[in-house]
Amino acid sequence: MQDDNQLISRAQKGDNIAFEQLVMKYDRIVLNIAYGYRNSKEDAQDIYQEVFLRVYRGLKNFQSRSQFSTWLYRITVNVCIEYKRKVKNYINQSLNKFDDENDNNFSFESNLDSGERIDQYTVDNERNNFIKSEIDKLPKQLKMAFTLKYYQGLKIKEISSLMNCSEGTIKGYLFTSSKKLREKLKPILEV
Amino acid sequence: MKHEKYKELLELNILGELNENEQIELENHLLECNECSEEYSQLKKMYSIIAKNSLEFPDERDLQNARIKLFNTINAEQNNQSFSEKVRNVFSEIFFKKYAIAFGSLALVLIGLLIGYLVFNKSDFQQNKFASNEIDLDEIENLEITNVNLPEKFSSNYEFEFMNENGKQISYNGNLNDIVIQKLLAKAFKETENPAFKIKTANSVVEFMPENFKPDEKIKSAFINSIITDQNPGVRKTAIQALVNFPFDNEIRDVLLHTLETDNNAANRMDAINILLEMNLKSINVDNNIRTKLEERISKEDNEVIKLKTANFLRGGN
Repeated sequence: MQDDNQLISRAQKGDNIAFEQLVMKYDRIVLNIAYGYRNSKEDAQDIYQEVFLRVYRGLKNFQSRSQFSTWLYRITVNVCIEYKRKVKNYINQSLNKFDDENDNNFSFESNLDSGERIDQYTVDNERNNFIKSEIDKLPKQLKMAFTLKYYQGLKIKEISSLMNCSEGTIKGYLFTSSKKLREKLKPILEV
Repeated sequence: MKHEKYKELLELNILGELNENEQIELENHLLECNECSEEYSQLKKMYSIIAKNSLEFPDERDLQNARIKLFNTINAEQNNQSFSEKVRNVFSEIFFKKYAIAFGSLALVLIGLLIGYLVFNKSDFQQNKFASNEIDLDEIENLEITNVNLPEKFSSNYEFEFMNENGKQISYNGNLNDIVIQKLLAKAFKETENPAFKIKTANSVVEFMPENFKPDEKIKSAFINSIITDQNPGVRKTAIQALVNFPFDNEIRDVLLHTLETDNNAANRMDAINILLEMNLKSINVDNNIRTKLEERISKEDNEVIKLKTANFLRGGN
């Protein structure tokens, strides 16, 4: 396996195989970061495409001052944060609006006690969806720090490098995320 | 203030960010502070609930799909490079490089050789270039395929070698957009008894499938038949994974339901129900006959997850 600098140098000269090798070396992580952040395979696929097209177009100007992987993951973080779902935009907007309006009235417990016959599988599904939706509602920067830490297992130092801010700021993001989630997940924590 | 500091440490400890000394300091504090101990158990509870809710991260198939789409887009982008740009590049190479005259002369010699070859070896050249519009597609069934090379990367072609009726060895190259390649691939897949070849072939179709791929009936039926009849579960699995990339229709629905109902391999049944759940359920007509069969399947199913997912499918969920 050639090192990144050799592959980059060949790819910069138009060698498609070298570019394919670079992609295949790192793309699993890119797809996972995107999926962890968006919690949607469709969105993760869109982000993956956008990230590697940016890399492909920008590679000729890449000067190996930073590591290729750092450069790539920074692009991934930026694309994730900038990402706006293209398809079904109206449906999502109206659903989100509905969620926001009913945010204070929604109760996970009331769903459990609704008297309907709900089997364990459905209960678990409901709970999972509830947790995912609460993580999804975190502000973008908080959600990115939280998902990089929690789903990708990165160190705070690494996250600060990818998100281009201080370690203190990342700690702040993580503490705030945790506090918000504890409030939102209270109904589950108390069951 | 002191508690605030330890509350931060609690969080950082759960996130695996404390060094050994900080951990010891925290543990000592927890022994004597009920407030922080309570806080710690609450935090652990929250993180353990989130952990149970781990996401189903993209699998190999998702990754392959993403790669195929990306390489297709990049190929298209390269091909779309404007003609004038290409001409400009060629001229700038010729006129501004130090060895322009030498390369120019070499190019002229090569062009001359090529023309000579085409003029004097026209008959041989045409025999080897077995163009698809010269083939009676129905005759492909009667060809004897002697060798198949699968592509190694996206820009490579499938290569087939076979005998024509005069006993002459002929080769044919192309990608999956070529109907002849699809038919040859279907024939090779159907006729071989080598499971490794079948698995590699089905994987190659997934890996090198072009955008807007229009599958030929032959290749589709080759995969469907192998899902129903092949004894090797790996072959059935890769055929399912290839088929699911084809435009979804009733035939594909039926073979997935068949797998769910009859395949003795739990991983294949799991694939089938996952794919059915991923499809737009409005496009899947679950009539009473199918419903009855699936309900019977649920009663016999050993695997709890497949059982639950099948029940969810029948409820119309996803």
